[in-house]
Amino acid sequence: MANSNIESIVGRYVHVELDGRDYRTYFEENANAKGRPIVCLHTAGADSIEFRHLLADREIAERFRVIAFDMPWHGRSLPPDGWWKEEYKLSRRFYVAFVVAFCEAMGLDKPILMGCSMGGYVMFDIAHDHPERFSAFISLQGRDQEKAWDGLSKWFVHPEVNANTLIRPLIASLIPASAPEARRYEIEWIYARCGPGVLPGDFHFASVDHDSREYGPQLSRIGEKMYLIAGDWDWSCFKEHTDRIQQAIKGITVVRSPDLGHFPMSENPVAFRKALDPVLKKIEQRAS
Amino acid sequence: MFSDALISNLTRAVHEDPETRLATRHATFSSLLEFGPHTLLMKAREGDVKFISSPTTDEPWDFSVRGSEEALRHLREAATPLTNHPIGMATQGVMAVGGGTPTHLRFEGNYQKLYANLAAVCAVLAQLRHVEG
Repeated sequence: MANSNIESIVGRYVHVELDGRDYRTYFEENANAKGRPIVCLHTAGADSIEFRHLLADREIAERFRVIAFDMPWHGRSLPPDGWWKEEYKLSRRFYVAFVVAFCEAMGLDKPILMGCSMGGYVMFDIAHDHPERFSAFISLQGRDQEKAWDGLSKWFVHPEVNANTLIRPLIASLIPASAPEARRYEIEWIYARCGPGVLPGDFHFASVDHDSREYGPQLSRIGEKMYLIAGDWDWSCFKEHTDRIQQAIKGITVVRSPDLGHFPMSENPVAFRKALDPVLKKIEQRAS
Repeated sequence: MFSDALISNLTRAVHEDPETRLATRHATFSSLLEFGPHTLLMKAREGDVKFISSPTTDEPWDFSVRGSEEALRHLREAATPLTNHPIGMATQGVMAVGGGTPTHLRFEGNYQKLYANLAAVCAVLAQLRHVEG
């Protein structure tokens, strides 16, 4: 008999081979779920725990197998041996290749891909490089380019600044005042656990390596399977930013929410479902 | 703008609010708050936070938080997406692409001191929404 005290989320490790290295990668999924897989990519400096509310959502589990994994250097996915001798800098090439390699290692056939912030940025890069490998791309708080993030990087590794104290107000500033208090502080906690140099390393991708403006129009050929969800309370993702993407990618579905900020799936699970539901329905309709 | 009543209520709130007390317990900095013609020095020493109205050159400071009188009003009124948080108010113009989104605040000065104490600074500024005066 099922123990109702135990959540249906299960966590395991999968070995992902890339560039001659073995990455023991942690992932969680909603056990016994039915339907097409949704692979979830966390934000910069965080990990898969951001998707815990979606993973525990029973109604979603009736329709989708939700899988969220920790990128190397994040959460329970340790960095590879030798990390102490190299500066962590996430590159576009590695990020795209790793997401694809993870899906292959998991044996997933054309999953839906959904990612937030840097996970939403890379959605455009993966859609460009591997349009046929995924059945849909859902970008949360996605941007085609943003140079400003990297300006903060130095201070997260500065010897006279405590990075896990510095990060909290930055994260708080991106969350709606209207989000439930406990959820707002939950995100601050998730970020305060970030490993040394990881957030600046992720900013390297978000600020330096990622720029999908050039090939936005090319993505119009798969525009019907591209989705963008963006919250008004995120100062890094204004309507003018999503407008630019919508103008570039013909056919993309854009959902703007007045109740969401930079961390939709963590900060307000109810408002997130409200924004996500029409997108998932559209994806289901396309598949049927 | 920074009335005696406001300074008195702010000082009390900073020392009584549990979250702000935690955030400022080791904070050590001096910051000039300047909104239009109104200035206030915020001086923190290991949890002891004091405010000095219209400071003179006798009171040096490490960094400033500057904005218009309207910016201060935003910090005191109910939060909106564009005025939710001081960091957002300082950063949004930097990230704007169309030039239509203003930067309401500027942090200037010794950035090491600022970033080392940013949590404390933001916790104190957040109290402006909760105090009268």
